[in-house]
Amino acid sequence: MNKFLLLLLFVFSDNYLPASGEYIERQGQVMFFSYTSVENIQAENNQVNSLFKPETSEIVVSVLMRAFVFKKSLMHEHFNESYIESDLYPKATFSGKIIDFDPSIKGVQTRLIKGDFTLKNTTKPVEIKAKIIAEDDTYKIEGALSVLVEDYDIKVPPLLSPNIAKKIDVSFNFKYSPYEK
Amino acid sequence: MQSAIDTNKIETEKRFTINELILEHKTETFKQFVEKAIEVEGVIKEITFRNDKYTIILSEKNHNTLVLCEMQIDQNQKMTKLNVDEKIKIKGVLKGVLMDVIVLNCIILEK
Repeated sequence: MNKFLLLLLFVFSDNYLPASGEYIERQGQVMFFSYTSVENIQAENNQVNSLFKPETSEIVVSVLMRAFVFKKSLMHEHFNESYIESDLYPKATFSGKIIDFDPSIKGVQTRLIKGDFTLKNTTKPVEIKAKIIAEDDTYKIEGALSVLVEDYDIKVPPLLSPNIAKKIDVSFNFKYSPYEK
Repeated sequence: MQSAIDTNKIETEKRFTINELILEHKTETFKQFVEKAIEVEGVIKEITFRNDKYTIILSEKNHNTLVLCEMQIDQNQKMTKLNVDEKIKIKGVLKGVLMDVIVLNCIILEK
């Protein structure tokens, strides 16, 4: 199945069933941090969906924006209602490929993942340095990337601008198991 | 990270069986329950503990879609008393759907 079709099915159909040879993560973790001199904002999402196909090195990720947890409820409200507009854009997605991934290697491989990240209907190419750990019949993939607020049409009111970093640090931690019906 | 929300203090918007919730998510009216407290009754398929949080996964025989209920930290002590295949009623804040229905800040109502 080509990457584009896999992404379309995964992202837009909640009836999509992974195929043989695909590994699934239903409870991946994505965290983000915004550091400024005024305020540090941190959020985590522990219910991130991802599929990984070792044979083709393809990886797709779907993040429900409302499932991010914040320490303060006002931050949660601003994030969903003003910045992300979660009613209009409920998910962020990533579709890409691990470059030079070798499925025959057990243990750790540090590789570059290249792909497209979509947030608020804006898609940008991204490169992510990631660690892939093959253990028994599972794969762990961990990595980090930076997201520029201005790239994704995130409108921060001038009054709150000093509180929100221009560059948001995102990290992720996924553990995949073979898909079983 | 502990959320600022406490589901104990929120009024239930709607009660579902797991079958009703899974069918509801395909309808237009589902959106009106997002960010609201719902109750769902179903059978425990699996209990996970990851990143310092418990999640109870509910399943229904006729559906591939699961319901993922991420538990509030104050429920941790109750978690050790639960078993797979047990029937349970959970209250939490509905967040939406990916492959599965996602409910956060969940508390156990009765075993």
